[in-house]
Parts: sequence; structure tokens; C-alpha cells
Amino acid sequence: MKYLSIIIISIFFIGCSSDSDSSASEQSTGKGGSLARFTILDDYLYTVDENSLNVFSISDKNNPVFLNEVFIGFRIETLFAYNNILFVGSQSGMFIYSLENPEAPKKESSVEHFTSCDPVVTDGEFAYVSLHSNSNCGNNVNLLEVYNVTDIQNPVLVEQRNMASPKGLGLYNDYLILCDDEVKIFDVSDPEKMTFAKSIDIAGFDVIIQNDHLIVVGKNSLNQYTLDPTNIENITHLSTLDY
Amino acid sequence: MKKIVILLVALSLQSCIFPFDRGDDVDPGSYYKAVYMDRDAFEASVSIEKPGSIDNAGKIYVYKNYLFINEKNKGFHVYDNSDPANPKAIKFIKTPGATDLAIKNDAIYINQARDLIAIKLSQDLQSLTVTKRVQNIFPEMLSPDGFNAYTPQGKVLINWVPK
Repeated sequence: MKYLSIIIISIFFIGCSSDSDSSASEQSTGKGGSLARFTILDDYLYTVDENSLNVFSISDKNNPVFLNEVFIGFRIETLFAYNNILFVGSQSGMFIYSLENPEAPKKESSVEHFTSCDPVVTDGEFAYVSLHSNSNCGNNVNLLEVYNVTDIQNPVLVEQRNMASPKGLGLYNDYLILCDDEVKIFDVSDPEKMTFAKSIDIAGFDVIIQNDHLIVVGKNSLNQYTLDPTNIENITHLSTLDY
Repeated sequence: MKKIVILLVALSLQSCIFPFDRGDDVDPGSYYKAVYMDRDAFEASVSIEKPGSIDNAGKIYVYKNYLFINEKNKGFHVYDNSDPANPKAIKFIKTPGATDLAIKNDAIYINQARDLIAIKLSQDLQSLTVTKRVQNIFPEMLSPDGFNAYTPQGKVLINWVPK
């Protein structure tokens, strides 16, 4: 199990470095947070809207061409890509699509739950879903759920935690960084027994993590930090942009 | 007068029975009203402007040393983030109706209300070109409290604001 996660993490890093290393391949793709509705994989742009997953070809980069629309359900919220798998968060559940044919996403499975807003991130082995209810979506559901997704046709709920009002989230090595009432960092080296590691007393609704760089966006400020891969307690604040 | 009253009662009943039926521009049940632009003006509005204040921050996106912060349904603040200790506001990309973007090899893809647009910034970031517009590929956005609008012909819904 540990080996598997090391392999997955290394693949993840290779994926990151090839993304950011624009000089080598002249390919450069940006990165969104967990609330994103757009994601790019190779020569395709995938988008989710209220009901559907859309596929555009961007092989001619200045001329995106609409290729396909796959109906998913209602109140679709977020889209997260991992390797050739798309994880869609909606107010009614998480949907997993494979991209064997990148132009025709195929539904592999879904998990339904109470109505709430839910972004999802994954390392390929486990998917982390934050379920947050507010006036528009559901009542009184504020949870972090962890699914084992090694079999994408059969996601298994392995852990569930009550939170204050969880929103955007991201993964950093063995840690999950979650925007709750404040930013909370959990050790997820054993996701079924995740433990709290550290908090940052700042309100945010989403994060972007690139290498050791953490960006937290909130309603009133954007904060940036440097993380220390050898010591999660050691967080260096870089800047606060107030607005 | 009596007829008007009957008519009004009938209308109000109708809106109870068919909560998604039309009012003037939106169902009276919504706490929000729709904001429209003429399609021509909407398409012509995409432009690059001086940096402005962040009033209603949406999603963020990083690309190379740049940081994009969505101004909900208005556009994107562009920051030079090469020194994350001191991010500098450099531009605002005006795209009424937009909430999301993604970038690959300097091509920027944006949901501008119901359209997908591709834009290209000039090297000096002083100007931009909309290289492609796929019209009406996305559904119209619902109000924050979940209502549909009844958009007049030739108009594009770009935002919802509290009544």
C-alpha cells in the first residue's frame, strides 16, 4: 500500500514538473483550484456547466472546437482531472468518468448523497470530497468524505468527518489542505485514519498548491505561503493581498 | 377595476402554480434580478484594462508566473506573481458573464456567460484578440437562489444582482 502511494505521488510530481517545465517541451498548462469548472488534458478542454460535461478540442489552440456534451445530472459544481479520469462534483454526488476515448467520457460510477456543494480532489487512490451546505444547497451537511477510488467503478466510503463549513481543498504530499472555518491541514498518509496536523488561522474558500507553494483565496484576502515538505508545522507566510 | 383585480389575482396565482413561469425578466419568487447586455455590446466588451479593485473574488488560476483572480461575472484580475511575497496587479481582463478560465500555451479559454471564448494577449499585454467564440454552448446561469431568467431576444444574461 505504501509503495503504491509512493508510486502515485511520484507520478503526481512527474505530472506537475512536466506541467510547469515549459522550456523542455514548450507545453505549458495552468492550474486551477478545486472549485474549477474548466480543466485541460492534452489537446482537450473539459468544462462542466449546470447539467453537463462538455468536450472541446484545442489541438488548434486559438480555435477551440466543441466536440461532445455528456449529460451528467443537475447542479454540477466542479471538475477535477487525475491522469485520464475526471471527477465531477455536484450538489447531489460525485461522478467518475474515464477518458479512454478522450472525446467520449464514459461514466464509470457515481456516489449520491445529501444535497450539498462538493468539490473533490484525488491522488488516484483516494478521493476527498467536501460537502458543505449553505442557503442554496441542502441543510446541515458539513462533512469531509474520503472514498477509496482504486476501483473507479466502485468507490468505497472509508472515512467521514464532521466539519464547520468545508469548501475548497487540495493535496500536498501526505497532507490534505482544507478550507473550513479556517484552513486545516490533515495528515492523510493513512486516509482511513486521517489526523489533524496543523491549522492556518485564515478564512478561505479555495486553495492552489504547486510544489511547496500554497495559495489560499478568500472572500476578503488572498494569502500565500511556503510549505516545508520535511515539516508540515513549518509554514512561512509570504504575503496577504487584502481586498 | 374589478377586471384588473381579477387579472392580477389570476396572474399571481399563476406564478404560484408555475414558479418558473415568467415575470418581466424573472420569476417574482427570486431575490435576484437578471442583468442583461445586448449581444453585440456583450461580444465587443471583451478587452484588457488597467488593474482595478477586487470587489467580489471568485476562483483563482495560476499560469506561469501569473495569478488570475476572477471578479465574479465581470472578468479576471491578472497579477504578476513572480515574487509571491509581493504580487503585483498588472491588468484586468474584462469579460462580462465569466467565472472560469483555463490556459494552455498562452491560449486563454473563458466561459463568457453562454459562450466559450478563446483569447490571445499581445506580448506586451497591452491588447487582446478574441480568436474564437463558440456561441450559446453553455446554459444560462441560474440566479443564486435557483431561478431561470426569461431573456429577451438579442440579449445575454451576464449577472444576477439582489433586487
